[in-house]
Amino acid sequence: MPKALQIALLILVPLAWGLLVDFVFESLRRRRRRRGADAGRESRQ
Amino acid sequence: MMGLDQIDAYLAGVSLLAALAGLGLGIGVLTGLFGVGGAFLVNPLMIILFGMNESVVVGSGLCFSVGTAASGLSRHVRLGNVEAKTFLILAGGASCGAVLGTWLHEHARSVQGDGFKLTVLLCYLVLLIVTIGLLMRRPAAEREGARSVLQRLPVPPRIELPGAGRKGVSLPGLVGVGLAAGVVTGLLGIGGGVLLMPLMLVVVGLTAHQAVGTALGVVLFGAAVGTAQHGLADNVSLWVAMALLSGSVVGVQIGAWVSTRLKARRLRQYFAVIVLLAAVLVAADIIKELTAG
Repeated sequence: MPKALQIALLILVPLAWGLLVDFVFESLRRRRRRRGADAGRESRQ
Repeated sequence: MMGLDQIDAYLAGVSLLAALAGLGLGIGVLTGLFGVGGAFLVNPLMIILFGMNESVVVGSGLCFSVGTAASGLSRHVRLGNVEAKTFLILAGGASCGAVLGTWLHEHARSVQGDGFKLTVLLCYLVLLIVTIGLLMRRPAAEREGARSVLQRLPVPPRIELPGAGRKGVSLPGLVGVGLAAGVVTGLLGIGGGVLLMPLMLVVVGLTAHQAVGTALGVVLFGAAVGTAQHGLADNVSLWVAMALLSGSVVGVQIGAWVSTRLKARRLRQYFAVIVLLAAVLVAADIIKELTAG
């Protein structure tokens, strides 16, 4: 593999990793919020 | 039967290991206190005081950083000082940056030959001065409602760091911070904490205690990748790393315990004084090298 491609990969891979981490964290947060809202609705009923 | 020369050589080896263990104890306390791997101080000291080869110092310093960071991190995780999302993103950048940094180290060594030691010392000095400059600035977390550098950076996509209470943080900027810390890790054998802690205070906008815990996590990843890379280039001495570690594992627990009893502002001031002392020491050795040459 040419050196330039290796260097580009070493920069792009952490960027993709960052997007993945953000996606996972946001999904978990949305799910937790939805669960919290459901629990609140049930307690009111 | 051992001759006098052999006994002298053996004792020199033992006393070097004992001196390294003593150095490790002092550095371990700083690690637990400030969240830095301690290699920023250990590495120039090993070159200046013990006359060790700079590439072995860089490789072994990284191996040592893995141990100190792991020990300090476990403590800071229990104290809730690690901002998980920032840590994971920065660790990805630091791991890739460490590979780049090691390539740079090997390339510079092959090009410069004997002059490489002076280059390494100059890099340490620049790094220490940059760190002092960053520490002089007031962290974003201390200014009411102030946005951090990454919040003001106009490079999308933007993410939220809920643990730090920061919205609209530039993701490429955050990855860039990790990459830069990783390159310094691989190039100079400094875990990156010395640079990461002020960067996370000023640039990312974490609180002082979060910056300490998160920096240790990132250092662990960057240093592990850097150690593997330098190990492949035969730059790692396990003896040196183990001697430093034997002293520092005790010191790091003391430091982490003391850090919970200090105010965040004080923590930064003490850290600045230690970085300044290290910078003076390195500058003195550079002047000595230049006048001797």
